[in-house]
Amino acid sequence: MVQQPSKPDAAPTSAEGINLEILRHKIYAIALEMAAQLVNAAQLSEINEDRDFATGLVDRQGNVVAIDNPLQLGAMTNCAKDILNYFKFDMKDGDVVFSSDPQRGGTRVTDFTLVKPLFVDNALMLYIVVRSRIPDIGGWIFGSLYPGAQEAFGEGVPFTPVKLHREGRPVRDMITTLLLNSRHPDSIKTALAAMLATLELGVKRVVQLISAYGMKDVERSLSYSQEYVERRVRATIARWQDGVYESCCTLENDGGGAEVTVRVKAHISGDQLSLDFSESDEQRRTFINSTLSTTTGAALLPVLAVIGEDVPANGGLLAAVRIACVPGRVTNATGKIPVGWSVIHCGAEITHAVVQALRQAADLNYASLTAPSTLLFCRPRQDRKKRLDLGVWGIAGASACAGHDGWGRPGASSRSTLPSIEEWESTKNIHIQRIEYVKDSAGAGKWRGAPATQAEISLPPDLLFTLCREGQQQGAAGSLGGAPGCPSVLDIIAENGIAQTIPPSATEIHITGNMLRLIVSSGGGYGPAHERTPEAVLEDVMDGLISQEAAAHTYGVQFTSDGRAIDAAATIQLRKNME
Amino acid sequence: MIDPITAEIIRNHMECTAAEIIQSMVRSTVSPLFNEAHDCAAGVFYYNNGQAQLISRADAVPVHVYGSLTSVQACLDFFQGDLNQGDVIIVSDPYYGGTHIPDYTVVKPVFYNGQPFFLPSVRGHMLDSGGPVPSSISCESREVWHDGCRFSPMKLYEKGELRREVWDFLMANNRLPAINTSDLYAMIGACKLGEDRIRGLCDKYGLDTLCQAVDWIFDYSERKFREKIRQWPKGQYAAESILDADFTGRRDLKVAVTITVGDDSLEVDFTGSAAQSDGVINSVPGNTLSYVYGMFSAVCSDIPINSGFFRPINVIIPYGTVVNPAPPASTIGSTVVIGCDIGDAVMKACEGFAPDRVGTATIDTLVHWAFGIDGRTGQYSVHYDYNINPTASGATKGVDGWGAWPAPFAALTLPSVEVTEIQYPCLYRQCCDFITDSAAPGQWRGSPGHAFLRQIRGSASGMMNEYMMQGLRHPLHGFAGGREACGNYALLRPNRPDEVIITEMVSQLYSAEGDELFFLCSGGGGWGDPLNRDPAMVLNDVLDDYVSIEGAAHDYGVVIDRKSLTVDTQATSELRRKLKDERATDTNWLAYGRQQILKRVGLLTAEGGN
Repeated sequence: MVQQPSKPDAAPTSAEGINLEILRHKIYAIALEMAAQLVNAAQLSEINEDRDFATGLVDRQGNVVAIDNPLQLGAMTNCAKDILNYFKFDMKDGDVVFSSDPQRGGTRVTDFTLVKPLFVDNALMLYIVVRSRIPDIGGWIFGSLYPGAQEAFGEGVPFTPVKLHREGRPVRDMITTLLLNSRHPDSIKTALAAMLATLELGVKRVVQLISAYGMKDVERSLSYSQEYVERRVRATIARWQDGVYESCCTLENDGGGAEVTVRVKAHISGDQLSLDFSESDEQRRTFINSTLSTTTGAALLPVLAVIGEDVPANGGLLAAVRIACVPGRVTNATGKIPVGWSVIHCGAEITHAVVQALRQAADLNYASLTAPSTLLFCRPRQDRKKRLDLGVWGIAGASACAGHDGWGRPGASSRSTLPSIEEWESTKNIHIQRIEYVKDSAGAGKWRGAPATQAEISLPPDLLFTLCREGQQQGAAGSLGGAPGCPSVLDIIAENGIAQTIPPSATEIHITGNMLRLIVSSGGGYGPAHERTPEAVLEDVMDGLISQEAAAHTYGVQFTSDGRAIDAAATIQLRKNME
Repeated sequence: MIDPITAEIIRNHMECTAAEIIQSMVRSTVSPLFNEAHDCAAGVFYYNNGQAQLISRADAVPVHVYGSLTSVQACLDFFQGDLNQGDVIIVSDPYYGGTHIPDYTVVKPVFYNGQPFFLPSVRGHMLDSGGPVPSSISCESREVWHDGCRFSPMKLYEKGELRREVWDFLMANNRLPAINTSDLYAMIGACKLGEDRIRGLCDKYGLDTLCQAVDWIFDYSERKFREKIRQWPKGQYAAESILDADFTGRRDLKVAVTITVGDDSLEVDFTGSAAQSDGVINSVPGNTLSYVYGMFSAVCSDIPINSGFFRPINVIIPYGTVVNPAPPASTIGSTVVIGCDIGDAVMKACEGFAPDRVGTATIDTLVHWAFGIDGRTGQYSVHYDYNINPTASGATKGVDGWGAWPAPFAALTLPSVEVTEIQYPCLYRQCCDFITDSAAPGQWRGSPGHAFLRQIRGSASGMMNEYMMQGLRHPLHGFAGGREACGNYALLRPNRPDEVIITEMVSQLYSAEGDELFFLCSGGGGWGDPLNRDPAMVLNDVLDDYVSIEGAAHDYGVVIDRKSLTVDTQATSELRRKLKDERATDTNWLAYGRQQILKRVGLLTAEGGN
């Protein structure tokens, strides 16, 4: 679905170029301002805490000009192209089109996309787009994350492209239908209001830009912005070694207890990269399948991590990096197939497979970008409209990169903010007894991964749990001699102190117990552990992150008898032995 | 003023139009639920002063016809100020006038002078309507979002133009889009035919005459019904029907009704009915009213059924109960379970003032699905066996119950077992056999229950079975002294050491290739005291094996000589006298056949303890 635009034109002249550079930044700023407004206006935690949304501008061909959230570049592109194609001859000023069908360029059924065309002088100029996750749109359980789902309908009601506004007027039957299919219609209503306001802001800002710079320059800047990004990305790819690099990554639990493997073939030819996932396992009747849009977002992450923040993602990136997969694979699921967990898994496996493939061709300065996650929700037995996300307290998994230890959650997850524990406790009526780092859990390395965290949460009686566990064998992978992170552990402990047996995945089961213990796997290390500076090891010991025994055994660092200083001679000897 | 003859001609034309609409639909649809089972209905509605009113209706189960009335009203309410000639509206949501989500109603307003005067409509049960459960029906459902894809009244066509986006949305939320597309076109086409007929009528008589005729039609039915009510003794008549279980573990859910017969009006009050269920059996107003109207239609079969007929009936349905649940209660099972209890309770209350007009007019539930791979084709197979629905035809005064369905359901047809054996991996070993002593005793007895023995044959590796049933512990009522129906039950692997007895609900029960499944499908209730049944008729039933010699003595007090197979008149008189005395105090006596059934499933000990 993502198509490769033609090669960029020659660079503009200098005077024109300065203007276009200014406009490029201003257009990007519009996407960022839209995002800021959405966060401020929306009442949903999915938007203002999880920040699980994207705002952007799309050109007439459906290519993204600017987007605030690069992880949704593929989804925004594919949704927009599907909508534009569907309403090719029926898009009018004042229309707002809505779509949420994973099979129509989307990602999950709870990811809503709104597209509003911008007409200037009766001519269509571009589209303003907002994507956002909402809490619920029907399906078997609240929130659409349903490990038992065997088909898409178990996760909710998909909406093919429909107009919510027609020439400025709301389409009442469609809006009512949308609200009817949610257990929280008021939340949807307020989220839609915020998203519509964000679209309006986008329109207003573009119109202001046209007033200030003129139509011609602004129009030219739409393609220029993409050309710029394409040029920068191609320049990066050109530094990589040409060749075909294969890699794979296996997910422990596909939701049904079986393994599933993502395979990628990275083809680097000059300044063009193509990532082909066609050899991945066939799609499953479980919720880990990924649409091509989700795959695109996950696959681009390692590339984005290389090119850095200076180069914003847009259609230019997709021109230089081609993502492909035959239909029917876990990486390009088709038909009425569940996909609810895909952004996390097998999204993480897609990202990691690409990291491993690219590492063969390029000098990547990071270890893993993702880590195994535990899906863990509960609700009171009597209240189907409630959902408590206990997995939110798995604040770990970040791997190290060259020059930096891992800390907290993997970078890709840290777009979201964490709620304050006190606020969470007061609104959820659940008490968190303890959250702390687990000693000796971090993946060792010259730069170590983030330590695992252990959360202990008191449980009220009569809860039903929905869960899907990953990382029970190993945490995030290490790289260049760094050690992998430790596995995840989930225990529910009964009053007699005995931990109950927890299945790998389950939907709304009751587990007797009054305390939940969740240890979330740690991040992987980067480089050999014995190359870590002894001072850094000492600091970790003083912080209680590693024990003196591990310091000696894993890092080859020996301390003086009071444990407060490094025994340099002994350390040198120990490390010599380790080599 | 219109003359009665013209009005009556127009009324008959409207009835014919409804019949033509439904015939057009069932002949052009793809779904076997329509073209074989006729699980659908048509109605022609009239719009006046903001109210939709039923002019005529045709075919199928009452729940569809009267459910259409509330659905059409919901359409008109929703699109107030935004309805045009050429619009086609679809509606199904139980909380927008519907009953359960798979019942789609299609309405096509016919405009004159800017007003949608007439609304031809069809309504039918779609094979699938999206949602998390295939076919949208499961006893595991707990919320309306489990029942299917919800939608408000929507315009499928606007001013004559298809709304492609609405159509595509509906089909994206359906497991059988090709079938549903065909069925929806058939429904729209049927409504278009209805419009043509109405326009033809209007061209002939003029709109003014047509409107006067419609008013006359309503007034006529109202007048006739009020006349009937005036003949009934005034007073309050209470009755109840108990649902065995709601499939969530809750049992004995009561539908209580009190009918107050006034001078020329009725109040039907459901106060005292059970609180709404966490399961699938909640009946929204459209469904509850359908069963109320349906029962009075059966009681007054000589009055044309239209909205004029409903005018004298005031229905009270307390909110938050099984007869008027608060959203988001699931309603997916309610069109039969608990709808039929609503109907049976109303009919039982009618016994108090119109005993000569009552009889079983609803059914009990015996639903079975078998899922698995058909070894002959390698395809996944979902077998819903319409044949095992309870026969449920009860007695009325002067007539024994007979045939498969009670009259209001009689438009539903049953599939042939031979075709079923071709379509699904099974072989019928026993097919629709009437079972001795299963007919509810009465001066006029109910239809005997019938039995099926179906063997799994041709499956790849056995089948999974789902059962939903009602009416074993609380079967359909008898009337005017007639006994209750015998009750439903099922057996998996009958008479084997690993036999499984099913009396309510079982999910995911495995059966291997070659296993047998037995179903006893109950008949309807009896009418009148069995001791008043003509002994010659009892003897006939014995000779036909409908009643055993033991049953004849136990239930009817008729003593039959085993050798000569003749009635012993003197012994019969003595036994009847004795039984009459006993039953004066033991009004809840169990019929002989029902005793055998309860013993078979373990609900009655051999000594008779219940």
